[in-house]
Amino acid sequence: MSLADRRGLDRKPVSWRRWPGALGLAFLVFPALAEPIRLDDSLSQVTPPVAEWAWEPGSLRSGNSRLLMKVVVNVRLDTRKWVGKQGRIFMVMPVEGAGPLRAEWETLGRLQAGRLAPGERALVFSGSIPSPWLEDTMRLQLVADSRTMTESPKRLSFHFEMEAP
Amino acid sequence: MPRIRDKSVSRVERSSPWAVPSNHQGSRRAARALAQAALFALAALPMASEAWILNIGNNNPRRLFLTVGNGSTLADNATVNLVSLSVPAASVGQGSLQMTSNSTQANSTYDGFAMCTPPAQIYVGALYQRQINSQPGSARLQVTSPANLTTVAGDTIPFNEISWTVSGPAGDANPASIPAGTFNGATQTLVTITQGTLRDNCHTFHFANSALRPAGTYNGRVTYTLVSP
Repeated sequence: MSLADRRGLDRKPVSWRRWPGALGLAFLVFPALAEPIRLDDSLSQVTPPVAEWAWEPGSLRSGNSRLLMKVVVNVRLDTRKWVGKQGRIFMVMPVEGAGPLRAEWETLGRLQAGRLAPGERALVFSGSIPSPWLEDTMRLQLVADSRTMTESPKRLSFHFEMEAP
Repeated sequence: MPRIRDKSVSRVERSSPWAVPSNHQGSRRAARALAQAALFALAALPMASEAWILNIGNNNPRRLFLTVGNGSTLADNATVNLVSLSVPAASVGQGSLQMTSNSTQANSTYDGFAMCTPPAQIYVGALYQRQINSQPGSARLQVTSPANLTTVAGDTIPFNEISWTVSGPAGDANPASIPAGTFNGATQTLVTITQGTLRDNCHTFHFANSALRPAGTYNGRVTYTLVSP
Protein backbone atom coordinates (compact mmCIF):
# COMPACT_ATOMS: atom_id res chain seq x y z
CA MET A 1 0.00 0.00 0.00
CA SER A 2 1.37 3.32 -0.99
CA LEU A 3 2.04 6.18 1.37
CA ALA A 4 -0.74 8.16 -0.27
CA ASP A 5 -3.19 5.36 0.25
CA ARG A 6 -2.24 5.11 3.89
CA ARG A 7 -2.71 8.85 4.23
CA GLY A 8 -6.15 8.42 2.74
CA LEU A 9 -7.02 5.82 5.32
CA ASP A 10 -5.82 8.04 8.14
CA ARG A 11 -7.87 10.99 6.96
CA LYS A 12 -11.11 11.64 8.74
CA PRO A 13 -14.27 11.96 6.66
CA VAL A 14 -15.00 15.55 5.62
CA SER A 15 -17.88 17.13 7.46
CA TRP A 16 -19.62 19.23 4.82
CA ARG A 17 -21.75 20.88 7.48
CA ARG A 18 -18.66 22.70 8.78
CA TRP A 19 -17.79 24.27 5.41
CA PRO A 20 -20.13 27.28 5.36
CA GLY A 21 -18.76 28.47 8.67
CA ALA A 22 -15.19 27.91 7.60
CA LEU A 23 -15.77 29.70 4.33
CA GLY A 24 -17.36 32.61 6.13
CA LEU A 25 -14.38 32.90 8.42
CA ALA A 26 -12.06 32.81 5.45
CA PHE A 27 -13.93 35.66 3.80
CA LEU A 28 -13.68 37.68 6.97
CA VAL A 29 -9.99 37.10 7.55
CA PHE A 30 -8.46 36.89 4.07
CA PRO A 31 -9.23 40.41 2.83
CA ALA A 32 -7.74 41.88 5.97
CA LEU A 33 -4.50 40.09 5.17
CA ALA A 34 -4.26 40.78 1.46
CA GLU A 35 -5.97 44.08 0.75
CA PRO A 36 -3.28 46.61 -0.22
CA ILE A 37 -3.49 50.08 1.31
CA ARG A 38 -2.21 53.06 -0.61
CA LEU A 39 0.43 54.90 1.32
CA ASP A 40 0.58 58.65 1.65
CA ASP A 41 3.72 59.80 -0.13
CA SER A 42 2.77 63.44 -0.41
CA LEU A 43 6.14 64.45 1.01
CA SER A 44 8.03 62.69 -1.77
CA GLN A 45 9.83 64.95 -4.22
CA VAL A 46 10.81 64.42 -7.84
CA THR A 47 13.82 66.15 -9.39
CA PRO A 48 13.64 67.63 -11.94
CA PRO A 49 9.95 68.49 -11.62
CA VAL A 50 9.55 68.12 -15.38
CA ALA A 51 11.76 65.51 -17.01
CA GLU A 52 12.59 65.14 -20.67
CA TRP A 53 13.48 62.33 -23.01
CA ALA A 54 17.02 61.83 -24.23
CA TRP A 55 18.62 59.23 -26.47
CA GLU A 56 20.70 56.51 -24.98
CA PRO A 57 24.24 57.29 -26.17
CA GLY A 58 25.75 55.28 -29.00
CA SER A 59 23.13 52.60 -29.04
CA LEU A 60 21.92 52.29 -32.62
CA ARG A 61 24.82 50.26 -33.94
CA SER A 62 23.68 47.39 -31.76
CA GLY A 63 20.09 47.86 -32.90
CA ASN A 64 19.10 49.80 -29.82
CA SER A 65 16.87 52.84 -30.23
CA ARG A 66 16.02 53.59 -26.65
CA LEU A 67 14.91 56.82 -25.10
CA LEU A 68 15.75 57.50 -21.50
CA MET A 69 14.35 59.84 -18.90
CA LYS A 70 16.21 60.16 -15.64
CA VAL A 71 14.83 61.53 -12.39
CA VAL A 72 15.69 61.38 -8.72
CA VAL A 73 12.82 60.65 -6.37
CA ASN A 74 13.24 61.45 -2.70
CA VAL A 75 10.71 59.01 -1.36
CA ARG A 76 9.06 59.74 1.99
CA LEU A 77 6.31 57.33 2.92
CA ASP A 78 3.94 57.78 5.85
CA THR A 79 4.18 54.47 7.70
CA ARG A 80 3.15 55.74 11.14
CA LYS A 81 0.28 53.27 11.43
CA TRP A 82 2.53 50.27 10.92
CA VAL A 83 5.65 50.98 12.98
CA GLY A 84 6.99 47.73 14.41
CA LYS A 85 4.58 45.64 12.36
CA GLN A 86 5.41 43.32 9.53
CA GLY A 87 4.54 44.63 6.12
CA ARG A 88 5.31 44.56 2.45
CA ILE A 89 5.44 47.71 0.38
CA PHE A 90 5.08 47.74 -3.38
CA MET A 91 5.60 50.48 -5.93
CA VAL A 92 2.92 50.50 -8.60
CA MET A 93 3.27 51.84 -12.12
CA PRO A 94 0.07 53.05 -13.75
CA VAL A 95 -1.23 51.70 -17.03
CA GLU A 96 -3.04 54.76 -18.28
CA GLY A 97 -1.15 56.62 -20.98
CA ALA A 98 2.06 54.85 -20.19
CA GLY A 99 2.63 53.00 -23.45
CA PRO A 100 5.46 50.50 -23.87
CA LEU A 101 7.68 51.92 -21.15
CA ARG A 102 9.78 50.45 -18.42
CA ALA A 103 10.88 52.04 -15.17
CA GLU A 104 14.15 50.96 -13.56
CA TRP A 105 15.57 52.31 -10.33
CA GLU A 106 18.34 52.06 -7.83
CA THR A 107 18.12 53.13 -4.20
CA LEU A 108 20.37 53.90 -1.28
CA GLY A 109 19.31 50.67 0.38
CA ARG A 110 16.28 51.32 2.54
CA LEU A 111 14.03 50.39 -0.36
CA GLN A 112 14.83 47.73 -2.91
CA ALA A 113 15.97 48.42 -6.46
CA GLY A 114 13.83 47.04 -9.24
CA ARG A 115 12.02 47.53 -12.48
CA LEU A 116 8.41 47.91 -13.53
CA ALA A 117 6.26 47.86 -16.63
CA PRO A 118 2.89 49.63 -16.79
CA GLY A 119 0.27 47.85 -14.72
CA GLU A 120 2.82 46.01 -12.63
CA ARG A 121 3.93 46.45 -9.07
CA ALA A 122 7.32 45.69 -7.57
CA LEU A 123 8.25 44.84 -4.01
CA VAL A 124 10.38 47.64 -2.54
CA PHE A 125 10.24 46.75 1.14
CA SER A 126 9.51 43.66 3.21
CA GLY A 127 9.85 43.23 6.92
CA SER A 128 9.21 45.10 10.12
CA ILE A 129 8.35 48.74 9.51
CA PRO A 130 11.25 50.48 11.22
CA SER A 131 10.08 54.06 11.56
CA PRO A 132 7.09 56.39 11.16
CA TRP A 133 8.51 57.62 7.88
CA LEU A 134 10.19 55.36 5.38
CA GLU A 135 12.65 57.37 3.34
CA ASP A 136 15.05 56.66 0.52
CA THR A 137 16.40 58.21 -2.64
CA MET A 138 15.54 56.51 -5.90
CA ARG A 139 17.53 57.13 -9.07
CA LEU A 140 14.88 56.17 -11.55
CA GLN A 141 15.03 56.00 -15.29
CA LEU A 142 12.17 55.57 -17.65
CA VAL A 143 13.07 53.57 -20.74
CA ALA A 144 11.16 53.48 -24.01
CA ASP A 145 11.93 52.00 -27.40
CA SER A 146 11.26 54.72 -29.94
CA ARG A 147 10.47 52.12 -32.60
CA THR A 148 7.41 50.94 -30.71
CA MET A 149 6.39 54.06 -28.84
CA THR A 150 2.96 55.27 -29.89
CA GLU A 151 2.83 58.39 -27.77
CA SER A 152 4.70 60.04 -24.99
CA PRO A 153 2.62 60.32 -21.83
CA LYS A 154 2.41 63.73 -20.21
CA ARG A 155 2.60 62.42 -16.69
CA LEU A 156 2.82 59.19 -14.78
CA SER A 157 1.43 58.72 -11.28
CA PHE A 158 3.36 56.07 -9.45
CA HIS A 159 2.14 55.09 -6.01
CA PHE A 160 3.06 52.84 -3.13
CA GLU A 161 0.85 50.33 -1.42
CA MET A 162 1.21 48.41 1.79
CA GLU A 163 0.22 44.88 2.56
CA ALA A 164 0.20 44.15 6.25
CA PRO A 165 -1.41 41.38 8.24
CA MET B 1 -21.86 68.90 -5.29
CA PRO B 2 -22.12 72.74 -5.37
CA ARG B 3 -25.89 72.43 -4.98
CA ILE B 4 -25.46 70.55 -1.71
CA ARG B 5 -23.13 73.21 -0.45
CA ASP B 6 -25.55 76.02 -1.33
CA LYS B 7 -28.41 74.21 0.31
CA SER B 8 -26.47 73.57 3.49
CA VAL B 9 -25.22 77.08 3.76
CA SER B 10 -28.66 78.56 3.28
CA ARG B 11 -30.09 76.36 6.01
CA VAL B 12 -27.28 77.26 8.38
CA GLU B 13 -27.86 80.89 7.65
CA ARG B 14 -31.56 80.58 8.39
CA SER B 15 -30.82 79.07 11.79
CA SER B 16 -28.30 81.67 12.75
CA PRO B 17 -25.79 80.46 15.34
CA TRP B 18 -26.79 83.40 17.52
CA ALA B 19 -30.49 82.51 17.53
CA VAL B 20 -31.87 80.10 20.13
CA PRO B 21 -34.04 77.45 18.42
CA SER B 22 -37.66 77.93 19.31
CA ASN B 23 -38.44 74.21 19.48
CA HIS B 24 -36.91 70.73 19.14
CA GLN B 25 -37.86 70.46 15.47
CA GLY B 26 -35.93 73.61 14.72
CA SER B 27 -33.07 72.31 16.76
CA ARG B 28 -32.98 69.05 14.81
CA ARG B 29 -33.13 70.94 11.51
CA ALA B 30 -30.25 73.16 12.55
CA ALA B 31 -28.28 70.16 13.72
CA ARG B 32 -28.94 68.35 10.42
CA ALA B 33 -27.91 71.43 8.46
CA LEU B 34 -24.73 71.75 10.48
CA ALA B 35 -24.04 68.06 9.99
CA GLN B 36 -24.49 68.46 6.25
CA ALA B 37 -22.22 71.47 6.26
CA ALA B 38 -19.65 69.56 8.29
CA LEU B 39 -19.95 66.59 5.95
CA PHE B 40 -19.32 68.85 3.03
CA ALA B 41 -16.42 70.47 4.81
CA LEU B 42 -14.87 67.05 5.34
CA ALA B 43 -15.43 66.15 1.71
CA ALA B 44 -13.89 69.42 0.60
CA LEU B 45 -10.67 68.92 2.53
CA PRO B 46 -7.77 68.36 0.19
CA MET B 47 -6.95 64.67 -0.04
CA ALA B 48 -3.45 63.63 0.87
CA SER B 49 -1.45 62.80 -2.22
CA GLU B 50 -1.09 59.07 -2.69
CA ALA B 51 1.08 59.10 -5.76
CA TRP B 52 4.28 60.67 -6.85
CA ILE B 53 3.97 62.29 -10.21
CA LEU B 54 6.49 62.10 -13.00
CA ASN B 55 5.79 65.06 -15.25
CA ILE B 56 7.07 64.52 -18.75
CA GLY B 57 8.18 67.51 -20.80
CA ASN B 58 7.25 68.35 -24.37
CA ASN B 59 10.68 67.89 -25.86
CA ASN B 60 10.80 66.06 -29.14
CA PRO B 61 14.07 64.17 -29.39
CA ARG B 62 13.47 63.11 -33.02
CA ARG B 63 16.82 63.50 -34.71
CA LEU B 64 18.70 63.31 -37.94
CA PHE B 65 22.44 62.77 -37.95
CA LEU B 66 24.72 63.23 -40.94
CA THR B 67 28.48 63.36 -41.24
CA VAL B 68 30.55 63.40 -44.43
CA GLY B 69 34.28 63.53 -43.81
CA ASN B 70 35.42 65.41 -40.74
CA GLY B 71 32.78 65.98 -38.11
CA SER B 72 32.17 66.39 -34.42
CA THR B 73 30.55 63.85 -32.18
CA LEU B 74 26.83 64.55 -32.29
CA ALA B 75 27.49 68.24 -32.91
CA ASP B 76 27.55 70.61 -35.86
CA ASN B 77 30.75 70.93 -37.84
CA ALA B 78 31.17 73.28 -40.80
CA THR B 79 34.19 71.53 -42.33
CA VAL B 80 34.04 70.93 -46.09
CA ASN B 81 36.58 68.31 -47.06
CA LEU B 82 38.42 68.19 -50.34
CA VAL B 83 38.70 65.06 -52.45
CA SER B 84 41.35 65.47 -55.08
CA LEU B 85 43.62 63.91 -57.63
CA SER B 86 46.58 65.07 -59.69
CA VAL B 87 46.59 63.26 -62.99
CA PRO B 88 50.08 62.59 -64.28
CA ALA B 89 50.50 63.94 -67.79
CA ALA B 90 51.17 60.47 -69.14
CA SER B 91 47.92 59.17 -67.63
CA VAL B 92 45.48 61.72 -68.97
CA GLY B 93 42.58 59.94 -70.54
CA GLN B 94 44.02 56.54 -69.70
CA GLY B 95 41.32 55.21 -67.38
CA SER B 96 40.16 55.23 -63.76
CA LEU B 97 42.31 56.66 -61.01
CA GLN B 98 41.69 56.60 -57.29
CA MET B 99 41.35 59.93 -55.55
CA THR B 100 42.41 60.92 -52.07
CA SER B 101 41.21 63.51 -49.57
CA ASN B 102 42.15 65.80 -46.73
CA SER B 103 39.83 64.00 -44.36
CA THR B 104 41.21 62.77 -41.06
CA GLN B 105 37.99 61.20 -39.82
CA ALA B 106 38.60 57.55 -39.01
CA ASN B 107 35.94 56.95 -36.34
CA SER B 108 32.20 57.38 -36.43
CA THR B 109 31.15 60.79 -35.20
CA TYR B 110 28.04 59.12 -33.83
CA ASP B 111 29.58 56.66 -31.41
CA GLY B 112 33.33 56.67 -31.97
CA PHE B 113 33.32 53.28 -33.67
CA ALA B 114 36.50 52.69 -35.73
CA MET B 115 35.39 52.86 -39.34
CA CYS B 116 37.64 54.24 -42.06
CA THR B 117 41.22 54.69 -43.18
CA PRO B 118 41.66 58.32 -44.16
CA PRO B 119 42.71 60.09 -46.27
CA ALA B 120 41.76 57.66 -49.04
CA GLN B 121 38.45 56.87 -47.35
CA ILE B 122 35.79 59.41 -46.45
CA TYR B 123 33.50 58.56 -43.55
CA VAL B 124 29.80 58.96 -44.40
CA GLY B 125 27.28 58.35 -41.64
CA ALA B 126 23.57 59.00 -41.40
CA LEU B 127 20.84 58.01 -38.98
CA TYR B 128 17.25 58.80 -38.29
CA GLN B 129 15.48 58.32 -34.98
CA ARG B 130 11.96 59.29 -34.23
CA GLN B 131 10.32 59.57 -30.84
CA ILE B 132 6.90 58.11 -31.53
CA ASN B 133 5.47 56.14 -34.41
CA SER B 134 3.17 58.89 -35.62
CA GLN B 135 6.28 60.64 -36.92
CA PRO B 136 7.69 59.83 -40.40
CA GLY B 137 8.99 56.31 -40.73
CA SER B 138 12.10 57.11 -42.72
CA ALA B 139 14.59 59.71 -43.91
CA ARG B 140 16.31 60.02 -47.25
CA LEU B 141 20.04 60.49 -47.77
CA GLN B 142 20.68 62.32 -50.99
CA VAL B 143 23.54 64.03 -52.72
CA THR B 144 23.43 66.93 -55.15
CA SER B 145 26.18 67.50 -57.64
CA PRO B 146 26.56 70.12 -60.34
CA ALA B 147 26.67 69.09 -63.96
CA ASN B 148 30.39 69.67 -64.28
CA LEU B 149 33.68 70.23 -62.57
CA THR B 150 35.02 73.48 -63.95
CA THR B 151 38.22 75.46 -64.25
CA VAL B 152 38.51 79.22 -64.00
CA ALA B 153 39.10 79.18 -67.76
CA GLY B 154 35.72 77.53 -68.25
CA ASP B 155 36.87 74.04 -69.14
CA THR B 156 34.67 71.27 -67.81
CA ILE B 157 34.59 67.64 -66.85
CA PRO B 158 31.16 66.02 -66.41
CA PHE B 159 30.53 65.15 -62.79
CA ASN B 160 29.53 61.66 -63.80
CA GLU B 161 33.26 61.03 -64.27
CA ILE B 162 33.42 60.80 -60.49
CA SER B 163 32.22 57.65 -58.75
CA TRP B 164 32.75 56.00 -55.40
CA THR B 165 33.13 52.57 -53.94
CA VAL B 166 32.18 51.70 -50.37
CA SER B 167 33.56 49.55 -47.60
CA GLY B 168 33.24 49.02 -43.90
CA PRO B 169 35.53 47.96 -41.11
CA ALA B 170 36.57 44.33 -40.77
CA GLY B 171 33.64 42.20 -39.80
CA ASP B 172 31.03 44.72 -40.90
CA ALA B 173 27.92 42.72 -41.75
CA ASN B 174 26.65 45.39 -44.11
CA PRO B 175 29.58 47.30 -45.62
CA ALA B 176 27.35 48.67 -48.39
CA SER B 177 24.80 50.19 -46.05
CA ILE B 178 25.21 53.32 -48.16
CA PRO B 179 25.67 51.97 -51.68
CA ALA B 180 28.37 52.73 -54.20
CA GLY B 181 27.47 54.97 -57.10
CA THR B 182 28.30 57.67 -59.58
CA PHE B 183 27.39 61.34 -59.37
CA ASN B 184 24.77 62.26 -61.94
CA GLY B 185 25.00 66.04 -62.05
CA ALA B 186 21.72 66.44 -60.20
CA THR B 187 20.11 65.36 -56.92
CA GLN B 188 20.12 61.62 -56.38
CA THR B 189 18.92 59.51 -53.49
CA LEU B 190 21.62 57.31 -52.05
CA VAL B 191 19.57 55.36 -49.54
CA THR B 192 16.34 55.48 -47.57
CA ILE B 193 16.98 55.22 -43.88
CA THR B 194 14.30 53.55 -41.83
CA GLN B 195 13.67 55.13 -38.45
CA GLY B 196 15.84 53.71 -35.74
CA THR B 197 18.60 52.90 -38.22
CA LEU B 198 22.20 53.96 -38.59
CA ARG B 199 23.86 53.76 -42.00
CA ASP B 200 27.54 54.48 -42.18
CA ASN B 201 30.53 53.33 -44.19
CA CYS B 202 33.61 54.57 -45.98
CA HIS B 203 33.67 56.05 -49.46
CA THR B 204 36.60 55.93 -51.80
CA PHE B 205 36.30 58.19 -54.85
CA HIS B 206 37.49 57.53 -58.35
CA PHE B 207 37.97 59.67 -61.43
CA ALA B 208 36.97 57.89 -64.63
CA ASN B 209 39.64 59.78 -66.60
CA SER B 210 37.99 58.71 -69.81
CA ALA B 211 39.04 61.53 -72.08
CA LEU B 212 41.74 64.06 -72.79
CA ARG B 213 41.11 67.35 -70.96
CA PRO B 214 42.74 70.75 -71.11
CA ALA B 215 45.23 71.28 -68.29
CA GLY B 216 43.86 73.06 -65.26
CA THR B 217 42.34 72.68 -61.82
CA TYR B 218 38.80 71.42 -62.03
CA ASN B 219 36.54 72.08 -59.05
CA GLY B 220 33.04 71.19 -58.06
CA ARG B 221 31.20 70.80 -54.81
CA VAL B 222 28.74 68.10 -53.93
CA THR B 223 26.32 68.46 -51.04
CA TYR B 224 24.94 65.60 -49.00
CA THR B 225 21.55 66.09 -47.40
CA LEU B 226 19.50 63.98 -45.03
CA VAL B 227 15.81 64.71 -45.43
CA SER B 228 12.76 63.69 -43.43
CA PRO B 229 9.35 65.33 -43.76
